[in-house]
Amino acid sequence: MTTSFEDFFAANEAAVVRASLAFCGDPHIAKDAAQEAFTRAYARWGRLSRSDWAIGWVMTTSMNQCRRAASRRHRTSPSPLSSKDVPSFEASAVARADVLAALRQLPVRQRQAAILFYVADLSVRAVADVMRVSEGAVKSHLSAARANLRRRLGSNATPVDKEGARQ
Amino acid sequence: MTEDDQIRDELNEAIDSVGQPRLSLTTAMRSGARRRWVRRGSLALGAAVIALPTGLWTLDTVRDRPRVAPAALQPPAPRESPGWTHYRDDQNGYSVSYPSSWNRATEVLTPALESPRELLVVGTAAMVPNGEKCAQYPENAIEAMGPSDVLMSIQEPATPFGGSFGMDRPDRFRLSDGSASTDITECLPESYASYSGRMIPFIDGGRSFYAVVVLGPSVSDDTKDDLLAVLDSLEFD
Repeated sequence: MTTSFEDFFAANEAAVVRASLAFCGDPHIAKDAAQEAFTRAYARWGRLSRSDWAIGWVMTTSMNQCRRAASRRHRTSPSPLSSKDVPSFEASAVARADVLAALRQLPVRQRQAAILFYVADLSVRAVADVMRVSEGAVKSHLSAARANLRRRLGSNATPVDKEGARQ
Repeated sequence: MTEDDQIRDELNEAIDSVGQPRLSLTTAMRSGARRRWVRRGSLALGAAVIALPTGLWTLDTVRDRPRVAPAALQPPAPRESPGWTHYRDDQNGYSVSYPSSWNRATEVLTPALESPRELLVVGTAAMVPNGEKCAQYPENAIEAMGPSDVLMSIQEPATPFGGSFGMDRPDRFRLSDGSASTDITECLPESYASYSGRMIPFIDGGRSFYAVVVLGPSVSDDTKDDLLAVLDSLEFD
């Protein structure tokens, strides 16, 4: 079952941009990374269109691009979008920036798992396929990510039900 | 609300607050198509580097069949031969001869392709424009081909080949020139898996070109000879 690239792009553009944005925080880097991922996807669409992990491939490529670009930029400028950079004293704006900053401080694998699961809205099984790890490993990454986010956000995220992960 | 739901809401709210940039489908397709061509070209160059010293160029097909006469005594390409049509394109600066029973595209079949751009498509099947999957090939025209049909497209990149990429046009083209392009059939339904494609980059008079050749699985030797004669008949300004 193959999909046209145009349909694939239309269906997944927003999700890939959101994942990139969540991964690196900078909208310019995120845009470039997501655009690059779709460009690479088109270059190999003949093969990719027949696989059932095309979207995972694009998201992973986008996040990897994001990481490379962000690390290059990091050498010369501070990390974007921490609460210090938010030009507003509105508490909610600061809190939202802190959520993203906390996410970006997670170890890479935890961050990837969290973004694919929470932002891209993939199931645990789909995240496992994309990351080429077992479902157990994904659950482990997600659990660690939750704990780290709680710690970094000062228990802002109230634990309610740890069994909320979709299968 | 579960903890997962709460985290999901907070993350998505935070992302929404940043504002999402929009991507360009056109950029992705154009740049992707260019990269595919570059990759194929690199493969062709690599194949040439490997094949030339080891003599693999002599392994293939029609031009390598024993000839009755040496190449120098072969008749010239059928520019004005009976049964052949001579076509001159002043705008794109080339001329070509092709069997009168063949079809020549009278419109661009790959309108989404910017560089390289399509100069010419001729073949034995109907010239159907456009396609859904692959901007760089006349996909619908290829899908219109039967098992005994051939199609040939000439495309010219906006930027001439640099360095050692691309070879000077040979005295006579052979079907073993260039590289096999599985990319072509990957753009098509599985029923076309037995079709074969070749991509032949060449330089002529300072201009760079790709000859894209697609052959059905049951193409006769005569049709292959005609195809090579069409290629050989190309003259560029």
